[in-house]
Amino acid sequence: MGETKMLVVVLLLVIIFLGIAAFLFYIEKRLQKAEQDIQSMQDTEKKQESTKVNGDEA
Amino acid sequence: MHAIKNNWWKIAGIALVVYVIAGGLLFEVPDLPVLRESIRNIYFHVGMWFGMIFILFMSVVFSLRYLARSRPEDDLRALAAVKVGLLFGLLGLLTGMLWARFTWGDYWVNDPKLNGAAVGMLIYLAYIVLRSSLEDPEKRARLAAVYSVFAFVLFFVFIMILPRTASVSIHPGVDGNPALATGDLAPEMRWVFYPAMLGWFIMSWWLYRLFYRMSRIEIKIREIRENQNNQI
Repeated sequence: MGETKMLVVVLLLVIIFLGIAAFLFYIEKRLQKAEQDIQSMQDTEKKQESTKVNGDEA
Repeated sequence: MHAIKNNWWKIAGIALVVYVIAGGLLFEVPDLPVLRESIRNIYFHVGMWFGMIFILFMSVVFSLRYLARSRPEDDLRALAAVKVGLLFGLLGLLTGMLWARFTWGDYWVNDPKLNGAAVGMLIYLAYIVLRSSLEDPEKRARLAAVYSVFAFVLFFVFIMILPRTASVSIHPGVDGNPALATGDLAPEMRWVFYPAMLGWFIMSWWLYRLFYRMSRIEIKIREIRENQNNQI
């Protein structure tokens, strides 16, 4: 009986920890997406600036 | 396949901690007086504390790198490492308090090691306060880097050196390295203890990376907004 209870406790703790780990992976995915978005925004800004400079020079 | 290749060390960290939870609570441990089954807490309390020391050491490395190269990324890295260090320190304190309750009869006893740990945590909390009190980013980063180096040295003095010089301490490890010395840990416990160290190290490193990336994104978004406002 005692051993079964211990197994349930271990299982519960493992499930909680795996939940935390899954949440960390989820955050990581969101961060990756945010990083990509920012990168593409910065690239567009740079392109716009260079076109503006070229336009001014012309 | 690509995801596994990139995340293998995180998966390894998760597997190690799962093994530590299961092994730590189910495997055989020596039946010692007073400690009894609470000895299993060593895999969590000491593991998290070591994870904290590791990541705080990394914050010193980043701080020194900032002082040498003045790159803002290093300052952000140091801050992220301190945040994770504080989190692990808090978890270490909580697990330690629980352990103390079952072995010493109270959550907190007046012991140089415990008091030193609390003061050490406060020193690192002051690091966060110091940062938020300075407006100029460059000045903040430089001051924080210098403070971080001194904070680590002081932290070490408070948790390792001062308790050893005190004549009375009931916390283990006053005359050696707790859990690492040959006679401190039963051989069967080493099968869980060493993986626990590695597992908590990996978890602290993973969290540090997430904190760092979050703060970097926050700064980039602020820069983009400032640029847009300037254009308007």
